[in-house]
Amino acid sequence: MGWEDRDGRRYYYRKKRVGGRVVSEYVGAGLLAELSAQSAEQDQRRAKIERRKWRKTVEAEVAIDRLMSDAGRLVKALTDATLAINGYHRHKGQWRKRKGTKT
Amino acid sequence: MNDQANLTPAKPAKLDEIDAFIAVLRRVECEKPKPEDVRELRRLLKSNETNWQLAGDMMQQAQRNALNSINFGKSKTLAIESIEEGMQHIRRQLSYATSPMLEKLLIEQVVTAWLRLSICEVKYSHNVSGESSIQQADYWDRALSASQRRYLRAIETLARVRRLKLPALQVNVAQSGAKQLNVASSAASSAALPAVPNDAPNAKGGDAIE
Repeated sequence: MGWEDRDGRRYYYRKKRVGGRVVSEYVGAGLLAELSAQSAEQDQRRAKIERRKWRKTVEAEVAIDRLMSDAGRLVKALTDATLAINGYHRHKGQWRKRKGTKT
Repeated sequence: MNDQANLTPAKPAKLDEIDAFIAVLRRVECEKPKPEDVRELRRLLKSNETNWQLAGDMMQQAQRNALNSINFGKSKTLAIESIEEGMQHIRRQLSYATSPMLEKLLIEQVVTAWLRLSICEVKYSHNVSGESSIQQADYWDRALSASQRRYLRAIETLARVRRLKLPALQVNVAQSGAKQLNVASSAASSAALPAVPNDAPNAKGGDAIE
């Protein structure tokens, strides 16, 4: 990738995105281009590893949040149920004592 | 957190039972619920299906996963010990040992939310000052805000329930491989929720929290 053959010679171009379009930027030919290509390849490999690592981190974080949400849902249900059987009802999001019930 | 190795991880299949439980609950939440719905809810709440146990297990699993998500490096044992001491401190401050079962569960929720918030704070500062991208910094920023909201909500719920001063609830707690026990609230909760050290104060300390 990045290498282009012109008149029997190989030239190295760096591709980059500018304003939603892919633009080729001339880097060079020969040894300088080889080194530049190797360096770009290394950067890509490193970025790929970083992306994978980040994806795993996010997945782990999402799993923790999901578990906490499920636990929270159950705790809320148990709280609401305890209140309901103790004579409370929900009025506009607030718990209020039902008329005529003793705690 | 000392008995971590003996704990059973929360089973996702149980979540269907929670949905069924919530469905009955929704019917009871109105001002004039049907007596049979109230009876059914009372039965579910006291049944040996141990929703209380499940909630405690899920909370502990979340705590374990949260602790495992940090890369402590060489000082892992020390860091985990200090975080666990922080968790125990909150339990003591909130009078975990002497609280009724529902409050114990809510205290555990506060502790879990505090743990999540503390870890998010560490990760946020580490990532914002380090070499992370704008996308990553933004992610941690949102995660931190969400965990702050969750922590405050947990504290508010506990405070609200304590203000109502509900009577103790008797619940059947079936322990795996053991005969079913029919116990009053505080005893039931010690089976359902993590153990706390014996040095917890006997007097109730209100809603104070650090």
